[in-house]
Amino acid sequence: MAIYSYDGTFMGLMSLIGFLEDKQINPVAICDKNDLVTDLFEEQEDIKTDEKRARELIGRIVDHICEPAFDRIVYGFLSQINGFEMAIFNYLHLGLTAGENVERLAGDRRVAPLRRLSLRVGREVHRLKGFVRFAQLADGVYYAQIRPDHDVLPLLAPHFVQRFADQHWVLHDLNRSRAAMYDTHQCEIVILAAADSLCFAENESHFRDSWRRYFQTIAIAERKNRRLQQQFMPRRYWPYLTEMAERVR
Amino acid sequence: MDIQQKLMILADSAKYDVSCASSGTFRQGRANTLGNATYSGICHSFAADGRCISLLKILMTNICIYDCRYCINRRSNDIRRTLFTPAEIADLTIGFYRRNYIEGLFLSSGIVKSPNDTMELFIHTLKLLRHRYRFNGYIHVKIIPGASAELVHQIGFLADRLSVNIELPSRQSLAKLAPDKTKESIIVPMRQMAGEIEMYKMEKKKYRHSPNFSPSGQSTQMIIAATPESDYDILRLSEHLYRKMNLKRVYYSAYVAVNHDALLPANPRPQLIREHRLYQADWLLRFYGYQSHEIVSESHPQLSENYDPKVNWALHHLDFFPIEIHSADYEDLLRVPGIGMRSAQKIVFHRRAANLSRQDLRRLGIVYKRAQHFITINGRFEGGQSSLLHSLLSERKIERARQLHFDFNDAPSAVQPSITGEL
Repeated sequence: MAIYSYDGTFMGLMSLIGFLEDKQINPVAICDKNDLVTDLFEEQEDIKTDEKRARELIGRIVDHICEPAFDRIVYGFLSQINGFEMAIFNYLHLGLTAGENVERLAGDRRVAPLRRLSLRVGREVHRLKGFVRFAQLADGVYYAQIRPDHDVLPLLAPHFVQRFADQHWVLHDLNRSRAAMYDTHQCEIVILAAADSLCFAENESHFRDSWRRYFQTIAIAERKNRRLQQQFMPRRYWPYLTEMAERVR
Repeated sequence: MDIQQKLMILADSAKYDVSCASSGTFRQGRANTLGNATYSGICHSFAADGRCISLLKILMTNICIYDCRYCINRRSNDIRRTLFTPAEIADLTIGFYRRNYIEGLFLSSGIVKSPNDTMELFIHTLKLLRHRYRFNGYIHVKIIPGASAELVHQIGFLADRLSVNIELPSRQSLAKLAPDKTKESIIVPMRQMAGEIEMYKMEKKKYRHSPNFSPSGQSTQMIIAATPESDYDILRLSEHLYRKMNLKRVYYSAYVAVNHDALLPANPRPQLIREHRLYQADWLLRFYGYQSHEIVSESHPQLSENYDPKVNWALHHLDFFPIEIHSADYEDLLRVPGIGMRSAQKIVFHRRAANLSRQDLRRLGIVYKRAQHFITINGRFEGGQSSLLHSLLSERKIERARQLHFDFNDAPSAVQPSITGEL
């Protein structure tokens, strides 16, 4: 029994879990080695990322459990919520013996925690597909800022690649200082610090104002229901919504 | 008048149209084109009235040759009139879409010159969007009553969804409030669309490259509480539209008094609860396998304000319950208050691998507080106690529930368990 650490990457975690499965070890805890604090009472061991072992495990997940199970693990990883590593380990530990039935055991304590995490991430991704707002910069690029709770860029980017196949765009996660950039051919995720000021395209204010006016006009006054509005569109998204933000960023 | 003023006038006139759905079509994005359509639809914002904004919902124009009593754009109203050009609409749609404000366009209009002239304007706009701008996103367009079959046919290939508003639930009300529209002018294009949608869907199964005709189906809308029809009349009409015309959606719109008119009720507030109950009943018709006569009848023509129609049905059919969660058919699970479509699917899916407990049901998203009165879990009934429902459950009912008790420890000793080890 020991605390095991990995390098914080998805492949790192897969290597670590592959190692634990091979050696049939039940860890006390798994954590990112960058967050590791020295523990006087537990042994600690760091497992290096082993691409081959990680791929092997992923192959086993897809073949012996099912593809949705792999998605669930990826979503759980991207939640980055405390304890997600153990949630993934427990789920996999059961899944590798139970097979695809693991997806039918929503109530099981080894399955429920990961389900909860992945659902949260899925919900945020779906909401953001609607709530991301792009603004055109002077150089023609469409630029959007978000502050998501989870690391959703890898899940959100493919949606916008599909949707805006013919435009250059940048989707900037300010919480993690990372951005998905797309140039009509390729999309990549890069490290990007927040810019001090942005220079918008000439007609940007026209569309922005038009949208705000449209937004205000379309509500039926006799049916006003601010609570319902806020329930569907939580406040934390407002600062980056063109129609809700007080002033232009 | 500048674009923004036009936009405000023409969005203001369009806002009473309820539909905002952008679901039902799946279309992949392609290189060098703009946009795609996702099957589930995406809400982009929510207006101050809590309604979802998914499409840019505007009128081509609010100029209208008709004089429908309930409509803000009727000929006899003294309001500012304006007209978008097809290019202006295309420009706004693309500008909004590229900024991810919207999922697509919802285009409707007052009637300029004639129904066909208005339809031609629509077609012009849609062609501009689809061909010049290579716009691949969602488009919902209204069919003008009385439009020619040829134009309806043409526009079906450009739009994702078509709809023609039935406006009012009966022929008499329509004649009274919308004297320029006849029932035939609405039903004829509706029937034509139903036929063509079905036909091209069949084609598609045979030939992969056959064109899509309104792939997201057709919908309609009617105004509630402006005329004396009962919920029974309304739901029977809806049922007919779903079963016979294959409609995707019927929208109900609680009447908002925009005009002062002797023929219209002068109720100050829209009847939102009634509208809500109608939507609930509508869902029962479409997804829960109910028939309209199970929900309302000639003797009880109105939906209850206090109970949703599903609970209402359950309370009147207590002998149908309790049902066993591990063996009941999907269709029967759907009848349990507290179990929705998703929950019923999950129960059927999960019970194959594991025995479900009360906690499991809760985790799956069942509203256990409500469902407990109508189900047994492994033969065990937990509802009915210390609640209002207890009095509603007949003695016989409770007796049966007790007999099914597996947990003999706290089974009342007076009741002889009828299930023995032989089972």
